[in-house]
Amino acid sequence: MATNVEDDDVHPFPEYLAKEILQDLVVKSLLRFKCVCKRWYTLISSRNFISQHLNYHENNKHPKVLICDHCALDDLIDNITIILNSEGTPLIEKLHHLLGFDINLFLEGPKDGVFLFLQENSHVDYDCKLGL
Amino acid sequence: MSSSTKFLTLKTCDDKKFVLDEAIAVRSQTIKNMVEDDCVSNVIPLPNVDSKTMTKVIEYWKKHSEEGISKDMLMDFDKAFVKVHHSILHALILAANFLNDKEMLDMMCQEVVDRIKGKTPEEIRKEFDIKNDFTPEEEEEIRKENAWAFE
Repeated sequence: MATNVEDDDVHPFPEYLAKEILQDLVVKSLLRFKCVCKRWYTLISSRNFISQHLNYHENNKHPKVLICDHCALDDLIDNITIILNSEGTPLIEKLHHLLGFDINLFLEGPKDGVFLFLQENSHVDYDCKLGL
Repeated sequence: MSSSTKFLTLKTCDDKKFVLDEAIAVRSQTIKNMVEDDCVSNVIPLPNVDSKTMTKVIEYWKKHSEEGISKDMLMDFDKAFVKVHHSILHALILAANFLNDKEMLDMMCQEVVDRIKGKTPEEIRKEFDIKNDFTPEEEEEIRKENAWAFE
């Protein structure tokens, strides 16, 4: 009984439809969905998908930008998430994390969907791990 | 161009026939191309769509072709239309894709996005009937890499 069919037939959508659906999701959901199955992992990690995802959100004028900052030197700032909602208004999750920064924040990027979060006059290069 | 109503007969994969006003059926770009290329004889076969799904598609097409229907009414209709079991939603997406009705496809895909965006990988696998083909170690590794996305 327990024969597992390991092929594409078990997936409900052809790849381009899966792409169509996934490209509309925010980065945080996508990173979570990387461990759904190998096919999704490969798709979500692919350069092609990353640039498509970025262009899609730029062109739609509903950018869903998500920035995650991992800082080894400062425990206060372990995670920053900025999401622009569908009206384009910045919506900051975990606002208290921002208190660790003074002013003059720099956002560099995006490169392959990754933004680098820098602080002026600081020799610390924050290790921005967006994953996408 | 003839002003009289022309009807097309659509045949689904389970051999059910649907007779439909051509003006409505050409919401499907696939059917429209066939009509324009004069490829339509008596019956248009739809090998990828079953009758249950086609009934829903036609319900959508008819509502969206109604004269004088207000935007609000259509929005209410659409909202109710997408509230179906995920297996039906998936069948409708595949049908809209095959029939090449972009408006309908976009609406259905958006519904899927709304349904899955907050979910966990386990819930996604259940929703889409996807088999987890990672070893527990591999999955753990990916989870670790993206730990913050699970918070």
